[in-house]
Amino acid sequence: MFFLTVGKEIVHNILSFRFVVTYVLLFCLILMAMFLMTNDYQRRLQEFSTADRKVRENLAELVKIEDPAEQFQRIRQADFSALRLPTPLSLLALGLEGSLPTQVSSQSRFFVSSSDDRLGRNVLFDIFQTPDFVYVVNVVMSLLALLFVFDSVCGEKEQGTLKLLLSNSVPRDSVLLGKWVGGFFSVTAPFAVAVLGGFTYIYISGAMEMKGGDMARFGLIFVLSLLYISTFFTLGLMISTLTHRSATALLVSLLVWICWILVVPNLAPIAARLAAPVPGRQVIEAEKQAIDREVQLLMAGIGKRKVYGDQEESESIRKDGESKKRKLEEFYQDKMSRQISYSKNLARLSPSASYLFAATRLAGTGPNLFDYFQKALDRFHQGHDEFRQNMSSGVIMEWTQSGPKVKDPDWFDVENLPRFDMFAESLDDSFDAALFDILLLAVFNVLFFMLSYTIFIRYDVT
Amino acid sequence: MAMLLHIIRKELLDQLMSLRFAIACVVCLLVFLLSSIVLTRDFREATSTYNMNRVMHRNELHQRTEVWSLDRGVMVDRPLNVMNILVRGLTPELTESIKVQAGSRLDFPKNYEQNPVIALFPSVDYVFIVGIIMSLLALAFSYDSMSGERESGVLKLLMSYSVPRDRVLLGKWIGGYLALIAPFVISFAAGLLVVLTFPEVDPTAGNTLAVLALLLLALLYLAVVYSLGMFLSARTRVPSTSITVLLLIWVTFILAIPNMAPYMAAQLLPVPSRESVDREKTGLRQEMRVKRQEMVKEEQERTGRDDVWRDEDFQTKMRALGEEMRQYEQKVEESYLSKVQSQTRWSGIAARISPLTSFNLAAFDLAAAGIAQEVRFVDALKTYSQTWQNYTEEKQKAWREYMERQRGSDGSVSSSSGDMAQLTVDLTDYPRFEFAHMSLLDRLSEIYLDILLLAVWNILFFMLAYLSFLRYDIQ
Repeated sequence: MFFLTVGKEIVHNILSFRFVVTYVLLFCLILMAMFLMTNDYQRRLQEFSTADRKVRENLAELVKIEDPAEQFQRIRQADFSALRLPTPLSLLALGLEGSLPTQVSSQSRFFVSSSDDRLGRNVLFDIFQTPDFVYVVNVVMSLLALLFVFDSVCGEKEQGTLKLLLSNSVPRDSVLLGKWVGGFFSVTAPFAVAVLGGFTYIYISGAMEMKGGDMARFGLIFVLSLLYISTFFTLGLMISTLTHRSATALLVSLLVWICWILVVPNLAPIAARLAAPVPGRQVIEAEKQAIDREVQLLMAGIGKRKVYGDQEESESIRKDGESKKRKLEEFYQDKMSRQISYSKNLARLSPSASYLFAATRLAGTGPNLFDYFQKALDRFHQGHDEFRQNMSSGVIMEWTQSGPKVKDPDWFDVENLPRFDMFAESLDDSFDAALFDILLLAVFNVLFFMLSYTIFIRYDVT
Repeated sequence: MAMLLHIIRKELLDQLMSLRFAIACVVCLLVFLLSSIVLTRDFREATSTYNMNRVMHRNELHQRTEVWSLDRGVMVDRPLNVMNILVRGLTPELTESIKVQAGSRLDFPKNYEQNPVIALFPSVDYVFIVGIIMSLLALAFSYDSMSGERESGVLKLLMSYSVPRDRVLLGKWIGGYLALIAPFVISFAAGLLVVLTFPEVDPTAGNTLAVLALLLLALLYLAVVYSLGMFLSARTRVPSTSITVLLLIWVTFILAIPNMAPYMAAQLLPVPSRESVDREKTGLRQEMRVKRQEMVKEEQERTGRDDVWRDEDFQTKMRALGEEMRQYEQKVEESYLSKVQSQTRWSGIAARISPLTSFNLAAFDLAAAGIAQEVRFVDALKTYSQTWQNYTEEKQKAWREYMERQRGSDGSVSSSSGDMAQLTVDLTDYPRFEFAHMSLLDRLSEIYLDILLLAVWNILFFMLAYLSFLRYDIQ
């Protein structure tokens, strides 16, 4: 009997007009999203490889210089750029990938490159959200899932088929479960086909190397999407059991969708920022400068009191200043991470945010990307500072009467240059980090199903 | 006429007593109030940040005494725009500090230093509420205006009176539209009241008019969506079909086309990345440096002297080389910018297939938070950079002259001769950055095409609805 209800539900759905409409829409949107984002990713990748070639050529040119003194001079003036490899799965979830520069420069702290980066780009990209796969699932699929299921119980009641169905000797739980299984299958079947189509395009275009890790991430994001769709599907089923007219069910579903998808997750981060304010970066920098000035004044004071200065005292003053600055930085980081976790948790009131966090985490483009980038940039700059210090400290070169003389003509080794390496999370780590959100989605699922079960048991079918 | 009023009244009463009206009231009020509370408080935070940053930057400049510190440039804060409470616009943050140096060098703050979660989500401002949420509600109000009444048989009854169909359509349109905008206007007014309770919000006449214009713009946009719903309702026979088709259209036109159009345009009109252009420019500079060194070497070999720099002819030659390089660089930059502009233009045209784009861009410009404003701001910054350059050059010249005078007396600069104050520079008289937001007239001149487009959509959909309704089978 259970399979009969499932079969009936599927046939009923497939024959309906909305199935055709949804099928067409889903196919178009998902294929379009994957097509556009894959091409965008390939463009970025191509840009990366041209830039990489250029950087390598420049380095090779530096290595080739015969005259050690000239080579030394040129290396000292050179600006070593490093490039950020685009994340492969950004073609599914662009996340924050687009907000990061693709190139960092060793001297960027001292030299600025261009002034027009505010206007020298197509601003229309910033006005609307990125139409990637995760966006389509997040916004469109949740709406379609609700649209599919809103009348599955109350609509049948309106038509009178529910009464007929329950006159058979079938327990209500298997009716509900049958409806769930049949309905969910008829939503996800076109979805899976569309994803398969998109995947085929990605495969043919060769944008993503079919490495194990990336494939697993792709699969996980797909499963996660199914879980997310099921959350909304179950929610729609619950709304359907709560109402007695399909028009009411539709309106209530739309209301819930608007609040949960459009309002809560988008308003939450700003609300959290108000709840957990962080002093501006500039205030912290100004405080640090003030500490520096204080240290300078204290040092000058020593110079006035003692003619030859006091090595010990000035050292302790310097250390004091350093520790104060470090504490300030820690305070800032602490506040910031608290704000971030506030924003995340508040946004998690909506499963939409949970889905977004989990999917971007699995794709490697989530909120932690900024942090990884910042750390990698700091390491890169630190490495270059040391490199430059080495150059000027006489380890490599000594000053002779005829001018600077390089001790070892083969000192410059491209392999030894500091690199820009962003921390790449392993699949296990990403999954662990995303697990909380995945579990949250599962909890929503179970909760909604249980609620709809309890309500359906008492549902007045007449 | 009396019949028209009757129909309007009937339609209005019908809607007022429906569940969707209650839901629309709840949604509108909730969303507008929440959004205005959160965004105004955010604006308040931004106000204090702005004031603090300004004082901080001024003090920092006043404390500088060394002449070389002029090269460090000056920090400029983006003036607040009170309209950002309603329309966040293009810039993600309400205020930001930009480092301005001589030679049009502007350093905007890096966006990876902010809270990453905020960057992941769009903000729920007036544009978002009207553009997405209200448009969905507009469809919920209109999807069954024809097909629903046909199904319930009311339409047959109505048409048995001697009333022309155009009047029925018009009456329905007006009645339903009034029912749609009533909760919207009331909630918007309530939201504005909340905004006005904050002391930081100080509306000027221009801004009040701009808010009014924003309201009218939203009404026009909602009318477009409402007419579309009416049209499709007159094309379909069952309300469940009309809502399905309408939701499909809504998803396509509101959620998909505006987002996908720029990517589409980028496929057809690719633009190299900013970084690659910068790299090209750096390459040019390097080439020029090598050339210059070669020229110096050649000249040294030719004349057999080391100090070729003293030669006037050589100096002109070098200057010409520098000029050539500058022009070349400018050409690269200009060709890049023109490519970007053409891409932006075409993606704008493609995205305007959706009325949401017209509404969004017009609202951005009305609130002085759009592209035109951004261009003006960057231009103002560049002008200021020139002013700052002139100022620093003047200061440096005065300082050099003083040093020369000091050196002139005994050949060395002694700190005891003359007063110390002259050795340091006083920066309290530095030129201030001034920037005024666009005037309302300028803003309106930016958006009239979009308004026209929305009006055209409106007429088109209404006419289509009329044509469909004329042949509508009311059985």
